[in-house]
Amino acid sequence: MTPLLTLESVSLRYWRGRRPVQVLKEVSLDLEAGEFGGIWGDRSAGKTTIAKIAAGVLSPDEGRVTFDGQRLADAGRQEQRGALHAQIGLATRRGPEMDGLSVEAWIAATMLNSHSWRAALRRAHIALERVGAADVGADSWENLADGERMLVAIAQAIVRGPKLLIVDDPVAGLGASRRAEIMDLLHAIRGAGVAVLMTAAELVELQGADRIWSLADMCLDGPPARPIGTVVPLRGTGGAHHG
Amino acid sequence: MSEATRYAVLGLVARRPTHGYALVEQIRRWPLDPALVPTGSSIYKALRWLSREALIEPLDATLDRETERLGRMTYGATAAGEARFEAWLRRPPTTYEDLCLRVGAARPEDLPTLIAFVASAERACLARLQGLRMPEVESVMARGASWGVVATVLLGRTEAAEVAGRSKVLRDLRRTLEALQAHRPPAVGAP
Repeated sequence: MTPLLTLESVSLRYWRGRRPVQVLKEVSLDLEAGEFGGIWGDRSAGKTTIAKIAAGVLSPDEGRVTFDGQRLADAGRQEQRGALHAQIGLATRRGPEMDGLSVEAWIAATMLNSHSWRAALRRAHIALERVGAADVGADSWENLADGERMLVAIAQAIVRGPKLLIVDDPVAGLGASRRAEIMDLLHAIRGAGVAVLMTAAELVELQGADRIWSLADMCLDGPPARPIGTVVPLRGTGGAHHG
Repeated sequence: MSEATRYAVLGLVARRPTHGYALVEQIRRWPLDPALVPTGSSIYKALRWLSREALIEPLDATLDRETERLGRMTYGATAAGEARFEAWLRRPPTTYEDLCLRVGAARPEDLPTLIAFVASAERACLARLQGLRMPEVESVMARGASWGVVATVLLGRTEAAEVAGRSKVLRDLRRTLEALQAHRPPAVGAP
């Protein structure tokens, strides 16, 4: 089976003045359709960068990003690229760069190249209902609390019915009930067949994920899948019963 | 005297010939749960047992000049002791403490084995975390769940936090061991 999303040896540098700052170094990952993948790492480990690269909004310096068998970065013509990007939703803490719009109008505005305004508004409303944030649809981004912003960002990301939802650090700094609400929502979205790739500052937020990677020193890392030696779940971790 | 104590003592003696008192001092400093720290007497018992099994042997005893009595006995590992220790070290640990003990007793040439053990433990932790998805306790209570459910969720969340914490510790340990291994000069004549 071809993975839905593949990152192959992806590297990226930023320029800080004249100094190049390596953010990612030969990062590779596979995510199957309908899977829930999680990447955890410290602050400024490069989580947002990897989320943006996976979403195709940032192109790596080196390496290849493939979505559904097609290269994301240079997917030929504009329309083709648009069609590909419509299948990936990216939810981040950054809001609309338009002042004064209601969030419902903002979400609708992101769909105007393929929908009439009325249809786009209707879709936006449905998406806000889906995430349980229909009540804040008429408010502007500035007036929303952190948790509400994340819900709205997720609504914006799923409004076109993507195959892959990428969520950048959705629960950081949120209270327990909001965190639970967002995690329940993400798992429900995944339950509906959408692959989810989520970043988190804390590993514990990724409980229940199908795949977990850690991001440290510019590389994605996990224990090697088939090590030399033996596979012995340790008692005391509970692994003996479930591993 | 537990098996762990025997192998800890055997490992220390195999690393460098030493006497009982130094062993007691050394083992006392290990970052173990106080309840798990072997007592002085169990360490001496382990020495006697290992000696009886011919896994260690007395090398010499220092002579106290004033009393003209033999002082502390220094022990070294026999060839059989070295082999037994080696076999134990390569046996997969069954508990976290067992793993820590191997890390403490291992030699540089054991790094690949240790890395495999730590990776295996790390994988088990991650698998457990992947199998857990606990709701927030507050939201379970707010929905009027029974106390039994609330308590189960509470425990589950505690376990998730513990498993996540341990995964991080193991990841960092594995990465450190991998870095150490990468910087090791290649062994001469090793298979």
